Amino acid sequence: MPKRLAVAVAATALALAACGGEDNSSTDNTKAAQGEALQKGVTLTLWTMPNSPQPKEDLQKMVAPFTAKTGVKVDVQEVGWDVQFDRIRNAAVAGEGPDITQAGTTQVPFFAALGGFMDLSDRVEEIGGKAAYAEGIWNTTQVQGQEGTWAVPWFTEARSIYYRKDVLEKAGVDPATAFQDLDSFKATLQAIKDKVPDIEPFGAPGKKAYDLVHQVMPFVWDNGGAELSADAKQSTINSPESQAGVEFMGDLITSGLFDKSQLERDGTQVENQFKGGRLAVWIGGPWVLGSIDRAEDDTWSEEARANVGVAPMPTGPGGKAYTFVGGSDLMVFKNTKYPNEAWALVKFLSSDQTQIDYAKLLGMFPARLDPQQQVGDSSENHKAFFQAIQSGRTYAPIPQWGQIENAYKTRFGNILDSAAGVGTDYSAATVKSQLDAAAKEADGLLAQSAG
Amino acid sequence: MSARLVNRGLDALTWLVLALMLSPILWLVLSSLQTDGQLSRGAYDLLSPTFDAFTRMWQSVDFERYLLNSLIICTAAALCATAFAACAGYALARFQFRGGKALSLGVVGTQLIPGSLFLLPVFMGFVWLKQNTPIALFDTHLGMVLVYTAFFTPVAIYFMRYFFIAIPRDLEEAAMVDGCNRFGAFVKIVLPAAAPGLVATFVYAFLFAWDELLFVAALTQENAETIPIGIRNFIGNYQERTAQLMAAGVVSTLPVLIAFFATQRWLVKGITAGAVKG
Amino acid sequence: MVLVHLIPTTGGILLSFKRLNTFTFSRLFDAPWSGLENYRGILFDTANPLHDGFFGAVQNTFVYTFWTVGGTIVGGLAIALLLNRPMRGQRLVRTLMLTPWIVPSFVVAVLWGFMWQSDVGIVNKILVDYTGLLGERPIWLLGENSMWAIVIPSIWRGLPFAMIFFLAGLQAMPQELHEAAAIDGAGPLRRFRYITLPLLRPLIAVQLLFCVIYAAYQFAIPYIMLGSNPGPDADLMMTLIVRQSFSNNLFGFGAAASVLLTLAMCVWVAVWYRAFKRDLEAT
Repeated sequence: MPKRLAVAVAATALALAACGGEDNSSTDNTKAAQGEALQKGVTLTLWTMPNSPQPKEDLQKMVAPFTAKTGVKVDVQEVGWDVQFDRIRNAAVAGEGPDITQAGTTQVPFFAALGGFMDLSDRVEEIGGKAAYAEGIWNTTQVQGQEGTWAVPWFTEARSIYYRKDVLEKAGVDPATAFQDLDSFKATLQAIKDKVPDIEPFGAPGKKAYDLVHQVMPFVWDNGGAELSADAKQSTINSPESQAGVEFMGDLITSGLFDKSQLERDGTQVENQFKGGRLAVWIGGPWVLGSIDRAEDDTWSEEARANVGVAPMPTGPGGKAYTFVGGSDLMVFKNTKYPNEAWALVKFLSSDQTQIDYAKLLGMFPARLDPQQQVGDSSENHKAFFQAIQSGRTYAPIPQWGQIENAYKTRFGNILDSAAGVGTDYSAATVKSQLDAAAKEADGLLAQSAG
Repeated sequence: MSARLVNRGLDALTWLVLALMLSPILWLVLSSLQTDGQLSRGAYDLLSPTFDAFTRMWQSVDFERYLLNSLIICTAAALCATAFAACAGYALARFQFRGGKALSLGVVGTQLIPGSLFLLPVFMGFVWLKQNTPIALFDTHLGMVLVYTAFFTPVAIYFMRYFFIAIPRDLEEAAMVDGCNRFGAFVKIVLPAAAPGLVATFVYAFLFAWDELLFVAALTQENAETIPIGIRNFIGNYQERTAQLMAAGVVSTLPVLIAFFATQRWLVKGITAGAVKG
Repeated sequence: MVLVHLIPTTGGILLSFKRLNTFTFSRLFDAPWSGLENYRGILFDTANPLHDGFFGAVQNTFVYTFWTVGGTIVGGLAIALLLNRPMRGQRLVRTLMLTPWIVPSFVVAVLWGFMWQSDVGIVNKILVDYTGLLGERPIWLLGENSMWAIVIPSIWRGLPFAMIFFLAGLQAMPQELHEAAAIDGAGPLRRFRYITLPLLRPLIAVQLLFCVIYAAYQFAIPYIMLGSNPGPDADLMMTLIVRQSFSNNLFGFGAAASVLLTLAMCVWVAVWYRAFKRDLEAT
């Protein structure tokens, strides 16, 4: 308790310092950089996705100090995750849209390729540029093989292992070594299956989940596989290493360690099953930590709520542990009538205090290194996530990635379904043929060109 | 004796079928009265329902806006479609046209084109109009009303024509003898007689517009989004508000249900008349 | 109608001859021509991303349409016959029976998706836990079962309209025929076969025409219940086209697939017209 208090005090002090610093310099800085004052009374439209319990109100409150300080109003619009891809693409192509939008980190290169967004290269130095972010996160603002910075990272998530401390204890497994590497990961699930019959050892979502590929790829990376070749010219999803990674997950199902009925669910529904006490081990993002203390979140069963542990992802045969790092960026539309005001808002959302406050509200991590560190220091469980983010991996920033991810998602879904006994018979040959098809499809998509 | 038994049995069967048909709706209502935790665990507590989801759904998503948009757009579109169809259907029924067959073919033809084929061009057309002319169709109520009116007018004409054919010509002719012009006769005599058909057409168009989700997803941004878009905001990447989703399902069904029960007498009559005439 | 149907459809057909992808999308109608490439790709090119899913989706759409339309018409007719008998509360039953038709498709999909869940859904609770009809819990939303997971709600929602339509036909039927036949000693089955069914033929024809078109273009229920990719066992033509066009930006291919779908439906209308030509002229 005292430790937590000390951290809180330190965080507040830092935040105050940051605020103070900003206040002193803000007038000089903005004027110097933009050469003109912000127009008061204009309204910026900001598209956001359902990130927090009351997405629109929460964010509107978050930007209230910005309006108070600059006189620039912000109209927050909520766009559902289901439609956001269409909406943003259409807005970029049609030139009819908001001033700023949130975009998933893996979507940025595609949107950038449409040509509807502002290149922020000249401005990002004002918020510290590349140096202020972890490498993997900064990369999400770029397009491979192209000059330009098309987005600013907003908030970050990475995946870690959630487990039930009480279940591990009953199974007689030491949490410190339970998820060290892929072998012990499997052994732990086996021990749970043998000794704790009233809970399913592990579960993950299937093809309905938007993030199925994020669920599978860490195991592929662990085994030395990759989604694309280093130059992003060719798919490597059917390499023997990648196949070993996908098979690891399939084998969990066939050996009864993976509750196959979870495959019909999407990510959040599986999350609720862990919270409700049906699953002992689950891989998820930091937002679940934030919901433990929320008494009104009754998807938690009392036992689960009291016994959450977080461990880093297991290391593979190569000795390194991989996890997916994602989150959302902010992009400014080229057609905005108020580029300076829009940038000022992005800058405000990138200030350390706003980053911490908003990330906390979402249960995410700030995108910037300094505030990230602060949140990471706030608890043992948060620390596991902080480390995951630093070593996290994401996909090659190329415009076709979204399509390739969809192709992989389809195939991974087929493979997991067949492992669950509801598709073609599960065998190494099935996996291979599905992955070959995925690679062929991806290569076709990579070969697309403007000509 | 055995005939009576059979009759009893068939009565019971009828009620059983009805119960089966209604049970999913009952389940929707019951689910909306539970909490997220009860829903995700499948542990319903039917004895202590809570209206929590119904109160919270308006805060977590701006559902009022979607509901209002749906009401405005669907009512306007259904009205327009019915009005056009009444005029066109009457003309087709009363004046001898060569193209009766062509009309039927045209109606079926419009139904044959999948939305996916012309959605993108409509989108581009709307955007072009917005950027090059003062005609605001993209992301406006007007634009969606136009689209839905165009969708349902052909079928509506087909519908209405049969109702008008069924109305005896003598009625109008009598009115015209009494000093009405043709338009007067149409308004005073024919329309009231065709009222069930008008109501049926209206409700039918309204229901379909209420249900449409492909076009509204592409043609609107923030001003004219309807319920099918709004309801999906309850499904998030980082959280799911299941109870509120169910509550929103109830709320989106309620207006159409009320409209249905208010007009069902005429509606059933209308569909019936349409069916008998083929 | 010209604005919304004719011009855009022509535009859509034009797009099906264009190479419209991630890189050329922003150029829209200025995208490069590709001739029949999109069509060739779908039909013959095994490396084409649409080719693989296309025939699966064609087959699934057939299966879906067959069962949905069959279930709707047979079920609708059966219930109409039930409701055609005099009974207490007749009006109430008839009205209430229509309510599933009022529930919007997106609500139907959310609700049934929820009820199908294998571990906590009410369907398996009834089939497995309460009645013990099934020994093992089926996973409804995966694999082959997922087809039934979309067919059954579709029937549930479509059946009431067919029912009221047929009921109207039954009520307009001259009673004398039935009475005369009954006097001649014809049982209820024979009367149904030789009197009711022939008289209902035109109505069945109309239902058949529109139900098939509606089912073949079904999108909302699989999309909302199973996600943008319903999987190899339940991916229908429309979910495939919308996914490839709008999530994968293959608009040229999507347009070409839409044109092929339209042609297939034209063939259906032609077949239908030949089969029921006489019935239509009779009315």
